Amino acid sequence: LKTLHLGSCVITTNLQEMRNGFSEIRDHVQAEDEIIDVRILRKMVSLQDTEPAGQCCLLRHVLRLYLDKVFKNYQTPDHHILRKLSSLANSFLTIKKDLRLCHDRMTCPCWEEAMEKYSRILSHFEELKPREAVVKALGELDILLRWMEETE
Amino acid sequence: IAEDTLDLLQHVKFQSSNFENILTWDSGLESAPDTVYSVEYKTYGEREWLAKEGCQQITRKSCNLTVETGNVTELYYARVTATSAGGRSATKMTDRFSSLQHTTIKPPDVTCIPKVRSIQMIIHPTSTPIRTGDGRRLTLEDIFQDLFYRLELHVNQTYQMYLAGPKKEYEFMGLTPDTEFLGTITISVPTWSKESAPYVCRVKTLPDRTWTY
Repeated sequence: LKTLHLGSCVITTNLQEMRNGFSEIRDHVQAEDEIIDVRILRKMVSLQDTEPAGQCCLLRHVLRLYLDKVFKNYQTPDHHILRKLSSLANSFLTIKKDLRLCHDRMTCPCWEEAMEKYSRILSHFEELKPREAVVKALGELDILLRWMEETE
Repeated sequence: IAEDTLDLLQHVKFQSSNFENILTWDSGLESAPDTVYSVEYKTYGEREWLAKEGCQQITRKSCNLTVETGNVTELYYARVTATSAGGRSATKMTDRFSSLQHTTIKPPDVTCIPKVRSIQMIIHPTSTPIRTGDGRRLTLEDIFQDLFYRLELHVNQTYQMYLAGPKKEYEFMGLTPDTEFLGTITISVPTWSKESAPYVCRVKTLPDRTWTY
């Protein structure tokens, strides 16, 4: 288990398990993404370069984007991939619940920087057609996992 | 895959070891020896493909892109265009490449020092082509925070001794003088599920010349 320090919100995650799970489907999912000129999770909006106090809010919104718009809408006949994605989604759900607790304890404030970064991520996502956006976002899970890894 | 691609060009991929990133490919099933190849690369998320100087119209089937793909937090693509003497051409692209994800780890460089009743092992840091902003070369230990070493000493068929940790110097104690031992040392990076092949050293402890009265 890895401890993430997001300002004064501290949670533990199974980051290694998520990375191992994603590495099994990464090449397949990334190969589906043919729009390689565009990136949703860009460096300028990265989690680790966000003010610590706002990291919890940014991560919470990004996880909600993945849970509400990405995992749900990805379709494939490949059951192995679906199982891996389901496991990743469950891990994201667990993290989101922990962040919710921080929110309830007022340790997950949403300030301008975090909201501005999230709106950029959302606009990068919405600039693409729905199917393209879902595939690209899934292919960028390694970026999101590394963002979480580097929030120390 | 279009038929013309197959018979001119295939298996375009990165081979990465200790962050030395080499693009390799194979000629097609019926490629003529005078087929020439040109390499381009790009950062994922950017528009332009950049031509790799030194790998334009070449006949060899590899190209060193270590410098061009040297930012470990970036993701890259590369592509090769093969052109036959008859003017036919084919282009193939790699998968998305992340050196953090894809690089393999070479065996460590170790000095094994035999003594009378112990064997000391000194692991030397492994430098990589990756440089910091001020030009300093990074070592594997700099890049991978959770890197550690696994040391094993084979005493006999059934008995091994183990040591492990992030530090560089280790000593297996309590050994029999004037006896040969086999040591193996590997590098492990749990976060990225990486493990190197072992460095192997065969050493003999020194004879015990102290007189017992």
